[in-house]
Amino acid sequence: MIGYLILIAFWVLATLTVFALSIPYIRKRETKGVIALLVAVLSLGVYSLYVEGLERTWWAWVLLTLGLAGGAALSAFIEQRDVAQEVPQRMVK
Amino acid sequence: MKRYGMHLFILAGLVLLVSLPTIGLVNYLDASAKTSATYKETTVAGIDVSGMTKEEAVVRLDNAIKDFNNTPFTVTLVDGTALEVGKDVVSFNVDATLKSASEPGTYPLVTTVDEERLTPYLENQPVTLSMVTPPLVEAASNLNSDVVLEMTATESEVVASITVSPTPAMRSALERMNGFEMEAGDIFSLKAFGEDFDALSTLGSSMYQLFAATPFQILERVQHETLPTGIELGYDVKVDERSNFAVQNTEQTAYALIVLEEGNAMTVQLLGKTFVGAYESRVEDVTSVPYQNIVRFSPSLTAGSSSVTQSGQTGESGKLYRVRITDTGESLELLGFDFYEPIPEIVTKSSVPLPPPEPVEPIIPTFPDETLEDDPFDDDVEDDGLNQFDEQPPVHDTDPVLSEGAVG
Repeated sequence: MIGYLILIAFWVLATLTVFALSIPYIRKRETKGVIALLVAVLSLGVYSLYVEGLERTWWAWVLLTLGLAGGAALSAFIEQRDVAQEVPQRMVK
Repeated sequence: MKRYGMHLFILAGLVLLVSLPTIGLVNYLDASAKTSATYKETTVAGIDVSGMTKEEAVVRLDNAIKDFNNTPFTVTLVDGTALEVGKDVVSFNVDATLKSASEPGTYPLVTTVDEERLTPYLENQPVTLSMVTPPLVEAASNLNSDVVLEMTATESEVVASITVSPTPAMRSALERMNGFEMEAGDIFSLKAFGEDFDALSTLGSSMYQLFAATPFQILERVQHETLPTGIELGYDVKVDERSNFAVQNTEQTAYALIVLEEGNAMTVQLLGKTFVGAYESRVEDVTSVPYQNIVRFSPSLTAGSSSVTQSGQTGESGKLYRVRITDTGESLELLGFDFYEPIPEIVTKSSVPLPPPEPVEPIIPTFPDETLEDDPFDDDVEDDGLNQFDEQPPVHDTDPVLSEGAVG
């Protein structure tokens, strides 16, 4: 049980860090929020894999890999979305 | 694409940044908790390890085991004899013991017995590995050097015994039988101790003799068609695919079969609580039935000859009684009535009639004082000195007749 509390603590730290820093390619707050949620889910998966002793289970690794790839694709999509609307507006005299 | 790669890198890095420190911290906390934890109200093999950490408990138990190993085991057998067994036959797993002692309580040491080392100690002893190992483990796990092989029965007297001269197959069956315990209501099945039916049949006869002198119930016993050689009348037992020899312990306490080896002979003892009254077996009403003579005639035999086609064997019967002797007298219980049919003797004689005897010239004795003038018939032409009135061949009025009656 204590492990999950530690996990949450580290996740909070990581999330605050992500929101606080200006990271290239992750400008939107929306993207940062999605990444924070994905980190929570995937970290929980890695920790569960350790706790349950699933290190030698192939499907657990496959699931994590798919989650990671899918999450990266999702955050990249969200970051790129609505970029066209941010075309510099005409200068106002 | 570069954007996707960067997102993947950042996401993976963050996941590792969160999960790996968590796993490391949890491991560290677990390890420190284990090393600093102390046992509470815990006793292992009679040694109090309360208030000790695991390392301290290991040292304490190791010292106790060293002291324990200084003296050999004293194993008291069911017949009362004491047997010394070295401590090298047992080994302890202190780590596994302490690992299992997570809650307060009393724990035995995790003990294993090396059966290869134990076997030499039990040679020529009325015990088997299966009889000794469990109580030995129990005693050793509590660091107790005195092992008493107890039976369920409070008293362990030899209540019946027999001695057999076993064949190798019988010896094998007897060795498997050694230490067989019969709880109240348990059934002894002879087939369970071997596969050689001939050997089991011979052994069954002896076991029948043993159990006939007990109050145990004979559940199954089949006799042969003819009494096998070397088997006493009344105790014949046949064991094959279809038949078995089975006995049930009808007493309220347990009994055990112990096999002792005495040179070429083996003694089977039934140990347990003494029976109420004395039991013995007795064969009575033994009768002998004479066999019949049968004569057959055959033309294939030469005239006048005969041969024994089947030798006869006398039949016999007898009743086996279980005798219970008490202060008030004897009481008989019929256990079995064995009857073996007689085998008739068959003699084959020739049916070819004897040829008629050839005429024989009689020999007339002469006497010194007889002269030729004494020949009253004056027919001795050649004067051979013999009376000639019997020179004619004898004439048989009737043919010879066989005197024996024909049967069959």
